[in-house]
Amino acid sequence: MAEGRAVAAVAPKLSVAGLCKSFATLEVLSKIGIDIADGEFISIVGPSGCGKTTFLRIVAGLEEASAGEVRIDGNPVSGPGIDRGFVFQSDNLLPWRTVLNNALIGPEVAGTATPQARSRTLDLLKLVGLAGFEHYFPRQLSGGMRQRVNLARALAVDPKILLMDEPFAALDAQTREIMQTELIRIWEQGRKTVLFVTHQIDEAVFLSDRVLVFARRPGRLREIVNIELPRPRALGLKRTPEFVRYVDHIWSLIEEDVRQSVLHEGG
Amino acid sequence: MITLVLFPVVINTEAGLRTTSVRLIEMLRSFGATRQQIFWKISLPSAAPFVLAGLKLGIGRGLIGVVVAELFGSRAGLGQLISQSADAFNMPNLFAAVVILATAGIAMTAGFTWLEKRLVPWTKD
Repeated sequence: MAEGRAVAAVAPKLSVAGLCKSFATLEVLSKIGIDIADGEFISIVGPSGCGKTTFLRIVAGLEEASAGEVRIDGNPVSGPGIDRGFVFQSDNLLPWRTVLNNALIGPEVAGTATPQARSRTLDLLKLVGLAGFEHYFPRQLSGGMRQRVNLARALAVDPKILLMDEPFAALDAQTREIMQTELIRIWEQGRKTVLFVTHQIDEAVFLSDRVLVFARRPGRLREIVNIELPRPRALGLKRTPEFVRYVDHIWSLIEEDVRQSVLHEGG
Repeated sequence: MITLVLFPVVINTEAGLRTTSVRLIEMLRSFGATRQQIFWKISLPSAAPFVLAGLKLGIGRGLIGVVVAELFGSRAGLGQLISQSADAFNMPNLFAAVVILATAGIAMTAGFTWLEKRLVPWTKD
């Protein structure tokens, strides 16, 4: 359980340095710094209010940092763009569009909704397991299927980095487990760089190469845990002693913080 | 007349544009969308059900407005027929006019419900 180094060996895909964020007088994030290599799967866990979602939103360009910077391939990020794909917690599908047209909205906004983009998006819908549902409307789909569209929509712009904000939080426990293995399967196809925010420690360990453990008040990076479990990973891994050891270790890092936030602020 | 029909439509449209989901806007913004793209792809379609609801209200009120106007000083129309028949105790004519009026109201509302199902199906069921 070696503490991860903050510097990747090769030129990082995503580089965050001295990142701070305050809302009025409340300090939400304090001096976050991390380099992430191309193709890494990184999860961020931490108690409520540790600023992990804010961190993701700053990387996405949806929120501005108070200090510090985010670089992708060495270029500073100044706003949203299609080099990043954001998978939201709620699926945010447009109810008046079919599955296919929902997934195509990124290319459409970018002005690249060509026939090639369309056939690529159809392939993506197949990849996420929605073949045959292209012309359904969101209201005709289950929660798990809607999240698959959410994922396909983010992938449709072929982003360099995939940003995922608790995408499985609204799903029931069984669907969530299946979606985790599905996400790994999809990720193995292209090995995009992924930043995955979650409350579920086991989800973070199961999916990731490294887990960033955040502490709260102010939100800061407490520890980087390297997950040295073999890939490809299957659900059975969750019952192995190595897996449980990782989960216990991360839980021990945030337990006190969680207790504080639950007992003194009602969660 | 114009105020009777126009106000529900305008007020409802305004409310519709205002209630556009922040989350949907944010989703589009994450792809670097411009304000114009947000308006055409999100705000306008999400306001559509409100515009239609406004029109539905407006039509009922329009019908009432027309008939009431005709009841007082008009040389033609259902309202005039109603008041004239009432004055002459011509019950068959009076009831014919009232039934036509009621049917027209029901038909128009039904037509709009049908239109809503076609144009904004996601607000149903």
